[in-house]
Amino acid sequence: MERTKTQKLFIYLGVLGVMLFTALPLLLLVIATFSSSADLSAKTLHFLPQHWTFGNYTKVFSGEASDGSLPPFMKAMGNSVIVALCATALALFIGIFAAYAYARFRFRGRDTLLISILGFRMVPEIVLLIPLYVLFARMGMVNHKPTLILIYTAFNLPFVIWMLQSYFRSIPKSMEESAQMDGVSSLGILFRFVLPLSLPGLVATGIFVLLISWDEFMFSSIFTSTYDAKTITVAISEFSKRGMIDFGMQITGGFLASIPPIALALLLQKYIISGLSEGSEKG
Amino acid sequence: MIRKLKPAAFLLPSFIVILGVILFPLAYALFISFINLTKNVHKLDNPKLWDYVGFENFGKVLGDDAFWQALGRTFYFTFTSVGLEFIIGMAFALILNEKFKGRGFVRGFMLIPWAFPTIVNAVLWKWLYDADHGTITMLLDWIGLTDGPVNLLGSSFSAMNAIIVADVWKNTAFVSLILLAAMQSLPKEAYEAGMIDGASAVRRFFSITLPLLSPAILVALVMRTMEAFKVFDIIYIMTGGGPAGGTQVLSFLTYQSSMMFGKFSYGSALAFVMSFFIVIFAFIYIKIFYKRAD
Repeated sequence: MERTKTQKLFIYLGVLGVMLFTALPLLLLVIATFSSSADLSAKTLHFLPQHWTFGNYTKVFSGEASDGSLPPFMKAMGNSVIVALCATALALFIGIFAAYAYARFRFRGRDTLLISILGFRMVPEIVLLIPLYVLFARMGMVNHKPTLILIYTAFNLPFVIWMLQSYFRSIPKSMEESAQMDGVSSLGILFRFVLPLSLPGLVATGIFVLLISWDEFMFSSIFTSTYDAKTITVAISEFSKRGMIDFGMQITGGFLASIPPIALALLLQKYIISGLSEGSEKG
Repeated sequence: MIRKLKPAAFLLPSFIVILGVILFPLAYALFISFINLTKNVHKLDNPKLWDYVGFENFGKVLGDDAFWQALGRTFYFTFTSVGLEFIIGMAFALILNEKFKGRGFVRGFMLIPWAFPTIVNAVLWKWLYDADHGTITMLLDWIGLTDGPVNLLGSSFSAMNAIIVADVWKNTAFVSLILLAAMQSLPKEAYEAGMIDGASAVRRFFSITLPLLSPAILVALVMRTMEAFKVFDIIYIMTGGGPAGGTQVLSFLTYQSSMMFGKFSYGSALAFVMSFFIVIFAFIYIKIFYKRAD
């Protein structure tokens, strides 16, 4: 459909609207990270600070840790990286086998199990917060990264299985069947044929799990108490608790913490877009 | 024999994890909601079978004004934010579906709020709304919409709506990208027929685009509704349920009564009552997929 000049003008105005909507809060965030505390606490309307400074960044990267090692921010970032990567790897690893079984094997109760997987995906996390806390606290397993990793793995597993089995089903069976004739085992088929062909699906699913794990706050806030295990979301929420709210530090730490997921999303955007549309078609 | 064991071997690891971290805790939560478990200052009581109190905790929840008010707020938050996300998301998707220079860039750019961590989003907007020096507070005063700087997070109604704005900013992109993906797979023929008939753009949108998009719209709406109904992080950071409980939603009430006040059994009962609504949304969701599979 060819558009007239007026229509084109409106389209570009719309695009400008989309861009401003998206960019303005982010722009204010970035500017704030470079503003001095005097600028941040000024009681007048201003968009650019009078004094540009890296002060907030040095504060975030220095900050004293209780045991004198890494600053809290760096420790929390490290914890988040470990927890998110391990949970994603584990959920994918366990999910791949289960998804393959649902997609390719015939066994009794398969469809019922698959539907219950979809059901588990919808269990509100807060229902599990109380029993998991009681269980883990009594086993002395709070404030350990592996506990968080286990919880995130479990919460993401139903989603991973559901997504991957739908990807696996979309792969033509012909090659697998001939390989099967040649006596290749199921594991061989899975790793040599199915997984390489469903790489986009694996990447898309992996990014979703990674971002969800990076984003998680409620469980981390309850299951961690020191920087041995505290993740970045908890650290950011606590930059304000030391007596007074340090907005400069909170905002700068927050900005830095949002760089990894945003970079990942931008780098792998074609997988995310296809994952989102896949998700809307197959759930 | 081996044939029968193979699926079992492939499924076993996932069974163990789901059983241990989801299914068993779910049953345990049900048990906790039927006893009277509290956390004292020093120690967590042992959950004991003989503490069975029947439906007492559920009765307490349903008889509690705090619950009904939180339910009302949760519904208000959910429908207002999802509604706005849908309207704005649809408008954005329609724009991005047009041909223009730099379309790929704009589409990638829209992923940023989606990937932006919820906690950071909450911190950002809390600062923008700051009573003394928040940019939005200052801007509203400068325009003259408010008489002097007003603490938007200081009264229940404005605090709730301020949080909704923050939530809408982050989540509109998700709705928009799902709608856009669906728009791009719409058949061109339907539009060409509409053009020949001379139907106006508005007419074409309501009589062609909207009906054809309805499956994707339903999915986006149900997914967002289930997420929004569980809203927690942004409330925790921006208001902590305040002012005076004005933004106290169901998740936060559950968290507060169990984790802050140690009323684990009451909290569990509350979480189950809350899940009842999620189950309804989930049924709608599964139904959509089943209808499509047929």
